[in-house]
Amino acid sequence: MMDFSKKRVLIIDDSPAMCSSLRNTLSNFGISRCETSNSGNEAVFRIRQRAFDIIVCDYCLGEGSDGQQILEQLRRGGLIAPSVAFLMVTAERGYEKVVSCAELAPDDYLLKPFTAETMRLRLERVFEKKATFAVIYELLDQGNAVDAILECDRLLALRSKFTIDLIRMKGELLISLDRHEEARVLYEQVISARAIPWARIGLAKTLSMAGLGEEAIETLELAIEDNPQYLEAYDLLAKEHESKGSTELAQAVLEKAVEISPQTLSRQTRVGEIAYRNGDLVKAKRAFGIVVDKGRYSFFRSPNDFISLSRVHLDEGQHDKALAVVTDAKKSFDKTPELEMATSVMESLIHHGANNETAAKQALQNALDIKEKTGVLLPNSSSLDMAKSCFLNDKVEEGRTLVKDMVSNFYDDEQVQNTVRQMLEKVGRAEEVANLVDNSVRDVVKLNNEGVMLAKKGDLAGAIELLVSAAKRMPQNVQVALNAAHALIVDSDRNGWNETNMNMARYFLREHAAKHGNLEKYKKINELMKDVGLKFGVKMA
Amino acid sequence: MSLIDTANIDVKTIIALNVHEVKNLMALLMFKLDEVQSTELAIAESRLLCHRVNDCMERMLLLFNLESERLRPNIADYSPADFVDEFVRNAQVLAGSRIKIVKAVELAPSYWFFDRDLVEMAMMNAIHNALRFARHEIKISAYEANQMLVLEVTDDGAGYAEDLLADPATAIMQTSQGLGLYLANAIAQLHVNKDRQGQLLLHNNEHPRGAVFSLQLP
Repeated sequence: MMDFSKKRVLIIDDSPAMCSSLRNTLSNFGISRCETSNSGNEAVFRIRQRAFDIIVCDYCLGEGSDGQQILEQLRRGGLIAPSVAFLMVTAERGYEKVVSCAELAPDDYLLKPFTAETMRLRLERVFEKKATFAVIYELLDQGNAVDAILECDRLLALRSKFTIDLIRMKGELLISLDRHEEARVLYEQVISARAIPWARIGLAKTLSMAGLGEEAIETLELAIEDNPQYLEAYDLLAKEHESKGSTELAQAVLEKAVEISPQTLSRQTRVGEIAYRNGDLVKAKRAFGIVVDKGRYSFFRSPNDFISLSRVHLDEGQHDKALAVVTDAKKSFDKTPELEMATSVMESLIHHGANNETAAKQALQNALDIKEKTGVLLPNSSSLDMAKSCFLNDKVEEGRTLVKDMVSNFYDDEQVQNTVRQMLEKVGRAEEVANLVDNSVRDVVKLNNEGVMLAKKGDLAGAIELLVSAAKRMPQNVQVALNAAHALIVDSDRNGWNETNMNMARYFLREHAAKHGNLEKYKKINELMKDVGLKFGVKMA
Repeated sequence: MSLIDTANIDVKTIIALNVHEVKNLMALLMFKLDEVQSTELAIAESRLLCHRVNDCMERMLLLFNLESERLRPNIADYSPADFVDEFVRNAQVLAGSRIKIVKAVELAPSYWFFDRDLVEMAMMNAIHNALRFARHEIKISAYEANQMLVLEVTDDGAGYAEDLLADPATAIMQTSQGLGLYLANAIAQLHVNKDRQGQLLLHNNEHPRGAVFSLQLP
């Protein structure tokens, strides 16, 4: 029997009777350090304060909160380590549907009623599995996915009961490293034994990565037909349709997913966004309305949803409603420069729509002042609004600059460029599209080349000046950021250690690590940074 | 005037709420019984009764779900050895010193794909029946045969009634044991892998005498 006496446990259940019963049961396994919590929020508060080894959480927590939300909040927020055992307890047989379809699953779940013995055995299994995966998690924690895959292979050769879990892990790691060919073979093997949903999803991802969009769509449609509850399949399918330009199909697919699981607000937001882009104001309003309404007490709520809802009201000519939503946003969130800027931009557009020119100009000026003073960046949609407001309120030069920055920032994103085009047409500046959009893309490429040329010619200071300021202006542009980092590092290598420059290089790399960490160029520059660090005896992790 | 206008009651919601409540109460009851450290026969019998009450409720819910065709198995990979181990340990608690529980998992594959919750329900039902009818021993085994995972419960009781084995379809609807078997078969049939479907096989052993409940999952 496993020794549980050192484990620290937190029980989360809205029924005090159940809490005390579970606590008694656990004490029979030798667990003495056991705390209980009757609400999700309080539980999260406790977990922030101290580390637990085992969390036993009831799915039904009352008052619109459930165990799955707690789990997602804990895992996404990095509040619990992979070594923590999270057990979900539920009286709903329907929960198995939730768990089999959720992207984040608990380590195991127990259907009520269950015996003390079953609970003990399940806990033992969870820790047995965690022990098996410990080395993999450690390697991943060090960012070493390559060796983690080798460890998967080593464990797979043992043909244990964890074979399928190991294959799943290996597949995800291969995908994260862009090794989609290998991943595809792996998933095809699993599917030939059993067409389990996650293997189909994995296969679809690898097909999409290989540029086989049609095949990916076919695979996803098959997965949905067999398991209509598996929501990740809808998300991927919508993405595939969207990348093919079938935005209406994409919207329909997402709407179906939302019908199955209306609680997932992030997907509602996506429905709202795509409906808005499709000009479907009724559906956009409905989706954003739900997000704003239901998200009021959610951990993941964002002012952006309020702004989106307000924008739909404005487009429908409902100025009072639009303004009310903006006021609501101001009341609902802490006052930050970002919030003030985004709400001011929206207000300027609403006032302009209501022919209240003075107020419109004033609100826009306020937003521009904050931008000037703090340099904070807004989400795309709000940046676009700001540019639009500039054009409408006689700040044409500012508008042009904003548009240029936006396009250069997303020089390889056609969707962004299209929305910019549409906006320019709306404000009666269709004739400027060529100059602002197409030229900006060309300018970025030119600027990038110029920077690289300067560096090659040995003018590192010139290259740094050009590229660093460009990288700051267009933080999403990975090419500019990588070239800037490269110039900064080479400078230290040749001319001696420059702490500020090296930190900046590291910052640029980190900002793009999640999305572009697998690019060959990224890896090379990252290695160079470490090497130069070594040369000067400084650890650059 | 009546306090509540019955026309406004959503029966389905109320049933669901009550089922939820009953399960929570059953969970509390089981925990309470597990806390009692006693070898008294009455306690062991109370435990088994508690589990059988739960079986009955689960059967009703499953039947309801089958009726409304909402049942889709959630197939994932599990270790059959671990799975059987859980039944054996729980059966040992229920059997007390009265009946010996034997486990045979040496020939089980290291993993298999099935719906753990549904198969658990079918197996629990079989084990609870075996605990009622066995004289000295129950064997719970898992092994692979003809590319099927076979999960078996064998007891040394009087065996299944002859008319049940001869005409399961008729016999099955007449007793609560029969309903359990019907549902176990339905659960097995929900397991489909390519062109093969799961099934429940029942037979009696002669030497020694006893019932064999055999769930076959592709």
